Amino acid sequence: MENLKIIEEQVTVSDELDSLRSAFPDCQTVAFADLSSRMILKTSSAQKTPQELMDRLCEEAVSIFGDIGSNLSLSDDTDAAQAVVFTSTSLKIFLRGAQEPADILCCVCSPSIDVDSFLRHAQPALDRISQGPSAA
Amino acid sequence: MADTIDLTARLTKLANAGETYSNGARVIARGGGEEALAAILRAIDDTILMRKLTFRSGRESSLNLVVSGRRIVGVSDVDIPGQTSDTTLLTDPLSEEDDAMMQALTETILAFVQTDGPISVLPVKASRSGGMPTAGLSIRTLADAWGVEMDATPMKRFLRACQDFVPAAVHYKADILANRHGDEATDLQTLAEERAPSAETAYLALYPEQTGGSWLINISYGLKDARCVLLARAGEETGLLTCDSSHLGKVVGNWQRATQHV
Repeated sequence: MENLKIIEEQVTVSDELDSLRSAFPDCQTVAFADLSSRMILKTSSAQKTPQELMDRLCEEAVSIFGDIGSNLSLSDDTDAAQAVVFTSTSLKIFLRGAQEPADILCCVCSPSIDVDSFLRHAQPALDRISQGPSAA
Repeated sequence: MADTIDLTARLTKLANAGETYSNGARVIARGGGEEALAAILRAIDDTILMRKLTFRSGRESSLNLVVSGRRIVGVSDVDIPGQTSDTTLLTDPLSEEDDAMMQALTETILAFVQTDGPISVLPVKASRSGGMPTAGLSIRTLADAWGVEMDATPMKRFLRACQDFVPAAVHYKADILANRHGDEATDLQTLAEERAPSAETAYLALYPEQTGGSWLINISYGLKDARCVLLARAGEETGLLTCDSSHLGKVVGNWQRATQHV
């Protein structure tokens, strides 16, 4: 019964990631990670992505929500919740769970993506994942 | 004529590898607004011999300017759906002392650049008889009339495009404060001078390939009524600004337009 529950949770997380990516073709990779253990737990990607790149993506999230986020904050009592990193060639979006701050989504997108629309869909998706299969 | 246009477009394309073309016309701006105005002025400034420059905005609008010696010497066909300016005033001779004509031209151009789509230009040979060599409108006159700063840096263009909706922004050139805007600029200035350098160091440790380049990082704090802090870097210039998270898409769009390479 416990195994069944684990499988059910994994299917739900995968479904959420796949659904987000299929709704936004400009998003090539979505990864669900645990910030406290610094591990990518599930990914959905247009192409097979080497584990090294996924680990690197997780490292980026750790630094952005850590050092960079705290150094750019105007207030000491609010943590970074979302981040968008925009270069001439790529756009990466990082989100934190509203209820579970250790739950994060790391997204690799084309610069042409509609950032507002993507954030409006991605944050609820992450929060559903955080709440587990009953909420999804 | 169609063959000539096609051949001109092909030769121009071959000579300018790296530029973007659409249906044979060179794409000079990815969207409208001030970036598009500046791009149109640059196209005029690049034109020495007499040419008819056909500008297209998206699929629907077109504007034909006769240009010579880096000046607009005539306006031919104008097709801008929904425009209200009186294009009958755009007749020769064009003179900056003709206020009504200048007003009509400015309104026409502003209507033309109200687009989210790309703007392209196709030059073809033109000939005109008569007219004084000094006739027409210089780009300096046009830049003043259209409110365009031709030599603004990407960072300056970005910050200016954002200033109507961001509560505060600061602009540094080579670590020296160049400009500040908004009620919270003092807080941002403190942040820029005391802690943002650490954030930048951490950022470049993550992305060392972006040292000296153009990049923008946005951090949203809190999820409800979230405020964002954005750190932008373009060469030696740094911009730090705050905005409501609902404006994030506009900020990113402005950054794309200000730093675009078309």
